[in-house]
Amino acid sequence: MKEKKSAKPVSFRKKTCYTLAFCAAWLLLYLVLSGYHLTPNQALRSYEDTLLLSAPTQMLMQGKSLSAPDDFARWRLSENEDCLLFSLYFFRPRMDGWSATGSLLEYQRNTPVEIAIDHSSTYEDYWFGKISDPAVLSMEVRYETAQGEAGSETFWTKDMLYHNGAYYFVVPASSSAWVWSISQLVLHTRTGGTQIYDFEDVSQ
Amino acid sequence: MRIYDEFCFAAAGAVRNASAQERNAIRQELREHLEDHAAALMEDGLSAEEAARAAVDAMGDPAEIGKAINQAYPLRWRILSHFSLLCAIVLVCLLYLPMWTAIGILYTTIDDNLYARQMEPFTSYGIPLDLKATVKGQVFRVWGMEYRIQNGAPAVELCCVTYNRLPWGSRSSQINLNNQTFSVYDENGTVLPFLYGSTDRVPSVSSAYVASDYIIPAEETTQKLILDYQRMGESFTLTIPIDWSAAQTDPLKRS
Repeated sequence: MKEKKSAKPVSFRKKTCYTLAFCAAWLLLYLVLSGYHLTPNQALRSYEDTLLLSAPTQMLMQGKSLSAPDDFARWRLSENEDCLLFSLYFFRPRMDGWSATGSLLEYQRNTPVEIAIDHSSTYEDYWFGKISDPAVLSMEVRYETAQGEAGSETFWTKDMLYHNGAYYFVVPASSSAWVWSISQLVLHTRTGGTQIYDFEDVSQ
Repeated sequence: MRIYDEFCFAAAGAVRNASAQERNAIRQELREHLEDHAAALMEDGLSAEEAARAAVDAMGDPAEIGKAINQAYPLRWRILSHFSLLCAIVLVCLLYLPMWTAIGILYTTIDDNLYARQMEPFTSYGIPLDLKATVKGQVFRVWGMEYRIQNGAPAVELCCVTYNRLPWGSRSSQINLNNQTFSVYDENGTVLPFLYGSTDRVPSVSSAYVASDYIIPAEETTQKLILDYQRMGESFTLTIPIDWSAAQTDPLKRS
């Protein structure tokens, strides 16, 4: 008669492995159920999915948020052939990890200058846009301070990001501390003409 | 026998780096060895007690035996086992509430998504429809229609909802009847304007669907409304039949 094979006793090594496997499974379950984004790219792609874009966007430039309290808050400007996307992404470890929001500027045909304002952040607004018109020489930023003082600053297009025949820019429109706000962007052309973009009009 | 138990417990007790099950196995093995030795001694003519005593004495000091066996069990696994158990307890406690919150949100998302698929008019003036189109995993559904008087002229109110094709998926708010993505025509190809929002139903937005109403002024000779969607290479067309002869207008929707 065959002897019954006695079960091998569970060692500490096996217990450790089982416990770690349980921890990994519990963590994975939480990540899946909560839609937790572990990386900024995950959050950005998830946000892009809700925009129903024709293709994923390619990053043009990115920077740090000026006034958001989260040290990890960043903005990113990216583009595909149909649109320009301004995204804000930030890290909330106790909620859903990395999150992204932003504004989409869909390109119109035969429009050499495309400008929009992003209002998705609670702390600041951003002007962003694309200048394909080679006649545009500079962009004047007209601002007002909280004390009511008006001023302006000029940026040359040649100093902006140049990519595939167009210039791209991102300018903070206002800060949550209400130190200043940009009321107008004025584009100056080589022939002396101007194109004025007002904050209220572009925001609509 | 008691002498065996005393010896085996003393020896196994010194194997501190083994788990409880491993110590049981060591005790069992030592006992079997002692019993086998005692059986051999009994064949040589010793009594059971003398044989047991002799077998135990032959093994030596149980503490030393235990220490020697303990060398085969590394301490690090004992420490790692306790540490990983502590980590598991902390992790379960930390994620217990967030897990239930996540489950609750997921349940609500699925519930809302299923509700969006079954939306239908709840008044006698509403005409149920179920016209759908899908764009990149998002379903645009026209689920109802009402006739109304808007600014003294006949109009049609369309009830629309957008939700994800997957019940747990998030919805997009990009499929809207606005001038950039939709055009509305009658059967003759005449472009019709439309107004967003109804006076008595606010757009409802959950994480699972976006529901909104659109009022389209239309002549009483219009027999069809054609919704044409074009955006970023995607397009679809929905045709909505209109039967003015069956129209009953909610008295509250005359403006």
